[in-house]
Amino acid sequence: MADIAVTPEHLGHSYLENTGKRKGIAAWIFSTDHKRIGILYLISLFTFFSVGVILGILMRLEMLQPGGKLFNAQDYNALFTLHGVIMIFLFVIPGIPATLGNFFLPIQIGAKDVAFPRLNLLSWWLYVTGAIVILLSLFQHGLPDTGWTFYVPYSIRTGTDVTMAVFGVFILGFSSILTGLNFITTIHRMRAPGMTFFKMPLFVWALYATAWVQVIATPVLAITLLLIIIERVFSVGIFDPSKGGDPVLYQHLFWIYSHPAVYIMILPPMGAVSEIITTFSHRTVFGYKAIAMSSLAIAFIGYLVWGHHMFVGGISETAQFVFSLLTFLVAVPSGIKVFNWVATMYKGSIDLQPPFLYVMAFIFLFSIGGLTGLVLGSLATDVHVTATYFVVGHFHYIIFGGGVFIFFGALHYWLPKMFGRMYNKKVANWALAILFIGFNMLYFPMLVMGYEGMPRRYFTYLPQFETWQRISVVGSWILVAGLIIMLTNLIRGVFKGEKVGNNPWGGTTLEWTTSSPPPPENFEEIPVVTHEPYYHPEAAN
Amino acid sequence: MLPDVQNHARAVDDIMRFIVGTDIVLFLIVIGIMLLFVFKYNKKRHPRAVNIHGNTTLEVVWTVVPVALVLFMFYVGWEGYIQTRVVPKDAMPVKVIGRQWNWSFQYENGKQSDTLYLPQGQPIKCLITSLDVIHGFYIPAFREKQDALPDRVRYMMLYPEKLGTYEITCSMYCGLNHALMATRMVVVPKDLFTKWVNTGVVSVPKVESVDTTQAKGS
Ligand SMILES: [Cu+2]
Repeated sequence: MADIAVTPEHLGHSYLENTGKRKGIAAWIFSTDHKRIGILYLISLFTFFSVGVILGILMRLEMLQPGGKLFNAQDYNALFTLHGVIMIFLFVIPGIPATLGNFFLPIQIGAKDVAFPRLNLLSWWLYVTGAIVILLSLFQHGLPDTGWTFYVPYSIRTGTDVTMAVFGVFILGFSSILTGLNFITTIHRMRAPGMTFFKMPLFVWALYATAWVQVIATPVLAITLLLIIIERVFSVGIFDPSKGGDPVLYQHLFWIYSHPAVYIMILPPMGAVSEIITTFSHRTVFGYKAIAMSSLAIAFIGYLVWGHHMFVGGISETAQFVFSLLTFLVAVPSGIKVFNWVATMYKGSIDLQPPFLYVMAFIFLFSIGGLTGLVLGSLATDVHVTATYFVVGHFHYIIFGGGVFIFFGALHYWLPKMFGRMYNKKVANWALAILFIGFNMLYFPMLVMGYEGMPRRYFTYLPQFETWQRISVVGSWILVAGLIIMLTNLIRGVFKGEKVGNNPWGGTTLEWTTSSPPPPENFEEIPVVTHEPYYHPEAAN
Repeated sequence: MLPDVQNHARAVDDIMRFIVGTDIVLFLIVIGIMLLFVFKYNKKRHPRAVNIHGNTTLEVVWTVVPVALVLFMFYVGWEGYIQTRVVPKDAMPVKVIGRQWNWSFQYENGKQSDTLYLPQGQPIKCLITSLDVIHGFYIPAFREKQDALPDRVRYMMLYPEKLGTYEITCSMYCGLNHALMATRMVVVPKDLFTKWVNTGVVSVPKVESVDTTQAKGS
């Protein structure tokens, strides 16, 4: 893709060896190298992911039989609150941008670092601070029990320590805003010579669209959470009707952020999918501009659909009409992306390596997530299935089956670049197979139970749901087995994997032109870009 | 399977069948084509890829067709929904009051009950509110749900057609005993209902309380 001098591997001078002036852990937690910060985030995120998984497993275990045998109602309510807060705010929202985005965005555009390296480090510190504040809330007046949505007036009246948890999320918001700001500036100002906007890799386009959502939507969440704190601490009536406030106003403000947040979670994985499919199909991408523009379209229309979370919650019929219509329309650009990805496989020369298999699993699960979304967008059916297990199943198919599966897939794709070593591919494929089976066993029954009227956030259930509940519980065990195998295999690969060359997959974007692991400033010489990102001269034209 | 007790429930099921049916067709097409390509263009069978940058006709088709399809789905869902918002003149109002953690119902003459007795064949306008936090008034058999908001009254129409007993649950998380905030709706013949609501002495079918902690397995 570019004429650059590749660092000879035997020189062995990489970002992993270059500790700068510091030693030991300080060389990591005070480093402004975007690659080291990306890895810091990766370790932090997967730590919290593991906690979230354990909480999720316990929630499922409670459902082995009706009657709250394992946890009482209060403990179960705390479990799903913490599971939601940790998974959403500490794992999927920072997600791919903070980790792989941090690591690969500058490299993919041929830059030495992000535009504001110190701000980047500050973002990680804010993330850690926010996480610690949330953890502190656990040891004050009992675990928060409001659900991750903090709906008022319940969140204002509950005796548990919501203020602290909400303040933690408030701090995390700034981490997200600063990362977004950093990425936008980096993309505008730091591209290598010759790299026009339409020569950027699609992963960069996805991060670009996401960054705008982070910068524009997150402040709304920050303001909303601040208002909750003001209401709780100073008894000002903003949302609580007994003080003259309006609880529906809270829902509007909350979802004005939290719906676009879904696109913060899903756009970056979509970008990674475009990278992986082209690399393993060994051909150029089908419909480059359509994919790039659909990212922006999703980010834009995604702002205008928040009301679909409130179809039964106190909005007018006019609002229901408009929000339902826009919700259906936002499905289209996602559909277009799927069509483009499948079309990119057409007349390719497909190499079924683990990252590509992850993409296939993603297309399967994300399609189920997206298509069940149509049931929720349609008013007549939404009224019945909203706030039931159907919604829980739907968003796990989107966020976990879609987003997080690709997070795993992207790790399998880029790990050899980050560490210069390869994991065991056979084990990776087995882990994926186990994950895929466990996932569907865990979440498909939820779609069925939801349609049969099982409301969410129940610590117990009516006996008619027992069979499906138990299938789902067993699914959660299989899923965890898959996760353990996958993560162990990756971690083993980082330290003990077989050494691989600079471009083990035959990728064409800039990160594959530098050494594995990359040198401290990414390239020995800043590349000059002359081709489209997915330039495969070996393929027929 | 879930019982359906009025026309609206059947309408929702029909719309559900239409959307899920379309979903399954779309899903099979996408996954089928993907698997076909993965098989046919595997590097062993197809060692040299072909660069194809796009195809305007194809891209226009797969934009326009989904837009038309989702607009139609939207219309079907909206029509199905808006019919449930029509309030007939002879509708009987019943107040539905949610509080942590039970439901109570108040009839026109002031009679209160914690089981929702309804006369068969009579359109009912539920006037839903809450005394504390937000609850969700949900009757799965009717495919109907509305949030109960403090300081606001929202409505929901019910058309009980079949005699019987149906679950009522709380669908909006409301704290400690959210999962236990359940009761029953009982549809009784009209004359029996009239006697019950006016005198209260006529025995209507006894309903055991819904206590999920006492459910099977305990
Ligand atoms: Cu309730």
